[in-house]
Amino acid sequence: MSTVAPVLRTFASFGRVSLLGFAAILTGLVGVVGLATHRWGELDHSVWVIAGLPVSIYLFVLGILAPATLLMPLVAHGVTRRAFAVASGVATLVLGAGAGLYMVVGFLAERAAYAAVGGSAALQEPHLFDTTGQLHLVFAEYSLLAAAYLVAGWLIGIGYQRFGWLGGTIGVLPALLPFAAVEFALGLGPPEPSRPTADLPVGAGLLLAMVAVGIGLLAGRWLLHGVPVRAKKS
Amino acid sequence: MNLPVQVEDLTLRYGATTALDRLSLTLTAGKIYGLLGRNGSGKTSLLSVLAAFRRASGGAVRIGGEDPYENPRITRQICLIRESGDVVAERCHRVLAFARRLRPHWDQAYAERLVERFGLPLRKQVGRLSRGQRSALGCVLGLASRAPLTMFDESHLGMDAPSRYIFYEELLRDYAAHPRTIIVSTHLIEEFGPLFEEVLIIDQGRLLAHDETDALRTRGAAIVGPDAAVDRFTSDLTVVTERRLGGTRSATVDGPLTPAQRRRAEAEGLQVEPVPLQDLFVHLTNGGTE
Repeated sequence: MSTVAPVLRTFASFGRVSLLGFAAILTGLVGVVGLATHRWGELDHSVWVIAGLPVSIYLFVLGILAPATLLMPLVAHGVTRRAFAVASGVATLVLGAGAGLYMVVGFLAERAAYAAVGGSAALQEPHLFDTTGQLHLVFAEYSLLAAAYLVAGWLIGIGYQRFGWLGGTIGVLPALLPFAAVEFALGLGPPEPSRPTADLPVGAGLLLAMVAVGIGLLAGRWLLHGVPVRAKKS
Repeated sequence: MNLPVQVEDLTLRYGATTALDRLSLTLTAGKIYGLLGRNGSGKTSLLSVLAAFRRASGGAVRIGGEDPYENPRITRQICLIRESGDVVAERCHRVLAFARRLRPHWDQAYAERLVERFGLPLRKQVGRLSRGQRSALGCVLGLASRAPLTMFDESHLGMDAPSRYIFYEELLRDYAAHPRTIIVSTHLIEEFGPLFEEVLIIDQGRLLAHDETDALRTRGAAIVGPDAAVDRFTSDLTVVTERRLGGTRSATVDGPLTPAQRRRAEAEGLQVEPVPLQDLFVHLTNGGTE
């Protein structure tokens, strides 16, 4: 019997409440910002777009916490590190897709609201999409960003488990490479005319971003292999 | 599923420290083993490698004929309960649900009965349990997992005497009903001794002795009787430890007594008893004073 399925159920059991709670709170907060902007400001830009960063940061933190809180108990209950890595990969895909879907649904709701009150959901930062109506690109960008942040956090968490406090801290910077690579490949962040990926076709950028996430997952799998289950100090 | 254990030239190093030094042993399946050793002797390191908690630096480990490291066929059949606890930082009932999800032989009804016997508060966070309660929770996990290879590493630390007796009783009862290989590492040698079918003594990462408990206890003898008579009898023997109570003395001597020595002891009105396991352990690990 594969140990991946029970590990995924364990992830779901431990993350479900926190994830749903976070999504509910974030939706409420962005809704309040939207209402306040409508009441006291001007709806000339997308408000929902601000939800993207908290989603990624939340998944980044979740990535750090997963090895710290679940790896040792799982291995101590007979789960292999390989199964933990595979389950983490599946969770990355599911949570990435979930984050993309969450953003798509948010933009859809925002478009409906703006249409009702006469606002304009313009974008102020560079994105893969030019308008919030390009839902396939919205989904692709936020899915990949969320997955990259999750993998970066996961690598940091594994680094601390594998190398201890000092080694883990030294490993923080290289662990951030997946999301740096994804932002670079998707041409996000501040506009830079000299950016080599500026003229990259969207498909190639997406492929590069997926490769970066995949390499991050493989690096984690490789690091996990030698992680010992250390005794806690009591 | 029977899980015999074979260890050959097992070495484990932590940096410059050698925790296990070319240790070899063979354990047949379906027995209760006592693992004894002084602090830092390598007991926890050995159990950690057997449970695939750590990768060996050298040598070979075979459990059921296979290397356990990253081998789900084997790791799911092994349960190591350590004093430090390796459970999720959650409420007790969620810790049990966690084990139920992952342990293929888990017996939920038995777990609930054990929880009741130990008086564990299921709604309490693990971090808020007393040390004894945390140990009891570990014992519940170890027993109810019914893993073919179950190991307890000082899992009883902090437990009060009644809880420890519940543990011994349940360990024996459940072992009789569901035979499996059990290894218990402990410093409470006299208390746990009667449970062990075989005893392993390790020191400085090496195996000092491995024998059936009764055979091990005949490696020496305890001579009990009046002070002067014991003194006379042991004058030409190596005394490992001795205890006095009023005019009575008990001296543990090294090596088995010859039939002639036994007859002489009987003639002098002395009792000859098997050597206490703890005395033998102290002697073998050079921790006693002569």
